[in-house]
Amino acid sequence: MPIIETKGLSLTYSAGTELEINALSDCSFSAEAGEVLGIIGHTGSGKSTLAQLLNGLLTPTAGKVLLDGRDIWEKPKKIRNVRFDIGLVFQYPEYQLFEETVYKDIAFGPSNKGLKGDELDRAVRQAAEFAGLKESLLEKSPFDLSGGEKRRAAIAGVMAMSPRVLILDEPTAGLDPRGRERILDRILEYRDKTGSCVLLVSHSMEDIARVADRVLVLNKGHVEMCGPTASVFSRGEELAAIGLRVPQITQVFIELKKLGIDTDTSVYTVEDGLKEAVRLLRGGASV
Amino acid sequence: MISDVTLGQYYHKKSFIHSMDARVKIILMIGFIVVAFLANNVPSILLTVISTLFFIALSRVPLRLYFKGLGAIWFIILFTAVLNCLYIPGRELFSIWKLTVTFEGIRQSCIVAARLVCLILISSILTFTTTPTQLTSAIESLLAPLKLFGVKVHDLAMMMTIALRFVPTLLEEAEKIMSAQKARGADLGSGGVISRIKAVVPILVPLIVSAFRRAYDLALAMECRCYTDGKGRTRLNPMKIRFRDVFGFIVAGALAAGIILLRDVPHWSVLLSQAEELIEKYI
Repeated sequence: MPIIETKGLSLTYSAGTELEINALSDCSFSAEAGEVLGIIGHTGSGKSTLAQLLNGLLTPTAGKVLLDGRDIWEKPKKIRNVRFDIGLVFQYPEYQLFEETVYKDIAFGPSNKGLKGDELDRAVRQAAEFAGLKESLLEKSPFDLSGGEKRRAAIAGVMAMSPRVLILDEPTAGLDPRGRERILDRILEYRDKTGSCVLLVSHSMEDIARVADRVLVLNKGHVEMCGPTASVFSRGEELAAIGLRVPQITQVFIELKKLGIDTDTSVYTVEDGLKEAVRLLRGGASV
Repeated sequence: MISDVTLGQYYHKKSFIHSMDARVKIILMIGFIVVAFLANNVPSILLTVISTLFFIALSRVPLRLYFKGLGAIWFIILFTAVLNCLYIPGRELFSIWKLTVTFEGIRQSCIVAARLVCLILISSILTFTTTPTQLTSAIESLLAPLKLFGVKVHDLAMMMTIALRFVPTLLEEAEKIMSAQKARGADLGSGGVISRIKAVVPILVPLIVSAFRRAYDLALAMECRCYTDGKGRTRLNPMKIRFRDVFGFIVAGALAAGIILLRDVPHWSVLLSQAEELIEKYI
């Protein structure tokens, strides 16, 4: 059974008036434990709306979100408990830091969940480790950290609730290449060690190509494509038509193909690109 | 959503009142508020109501928006009217227990209620037809004489403009932070007083931090564009008094004069005899 599933999920703002906006319409997909599902789409395609619907911050106007096969809105008063199982890291999460020390800030989520004493301490230290924060940083003020560290501290704050589904909205936005790499590595490590399901919302095709097992493409509030990363990125022209593009490395091989070189265009990471290039140079291609 | 609440309630439309100079509108508004307080009998308050409705029609802003603005203060109006109704002596209409309702009382409470409604409608006309930017530059221009006393009028106006500009931004920010903390299991709006106050901290701290960040960014951006205060600054849209402003001023002035003429003034002879009595009493 998929850990998280949506059925005909829709959200309409100002329904019935002239200002009616379909932020999301009839969106159905599912994700399994242990997989990374990338969610891509143009600005305004409903990515952030979807993220907030999934953990009950927004209420759908139609359709359902199922966690382990049960509707998260089954008991509206218990919606808070759903948020401990489906953790959402907002865009620019460093702006939500507020405590005196990084340790206390990470502890905010798990203590809301009801953890105390040793259990709480373990949750905080483990999350800090997942997020790659050194022990020595824990007693510092979150406002004294560097940009990348703040971002990771904020992500640790959500990881500390040990959600089984971790949703991250543009976790690498505005970071330098090294910061991006680190965050993506940390997210993969969290997935590997806890077997959780990770939903990664991103603009960056390179990020998605690097970590996602499957990709969900949103366009104007509905699901345009959903499938394994390689198969989605092999549909470059369709992606371009809705304002998205394929990873740069894939673009290189598509251009090579246009030049008449017989190459495989389902390459989407630099490592695969290298292998394919070596194959071509060794005479695998006929010009 | 919080962002539905906006301070500036400007309603975009092309109308005679929209195109008037903001300074003239402010002066007229203050004038009419004073006049509404002066109106003390049925004919004068009736003329006040008619003039207010006339201005509302001229503003071409939908009437329901005006009444939406009244919504919040219906209670105050009702309360004042009822009190007035009970405390004015005169011809008795009926009485319940120790409370007596008089004909004069009802008349007086109608006048008071009409006056309050007019006050609010008149100030709404100003805010509906004038953008916050126009308002602040008008205030700056009207307060200009205070410069003689060393008041930094331009700085004050700039502060007001910036504050108004950032109200929606900060509201949006607050909403985002609230969602983010809710996602971390924050429980807003339940529990006792102390736990409620504690629940505000995770929202307030990031909000204040971000307000400071924005302030620094803005200050830097302004300095980069060589912003200096006061002297020698020119405007993108200089304010000009045009024919329509003079015309509007005359029409509104005539209505105000009419209201003042219609009000009950103790007759001169009454005033004289009162004065005589006083003089006799003390001499």
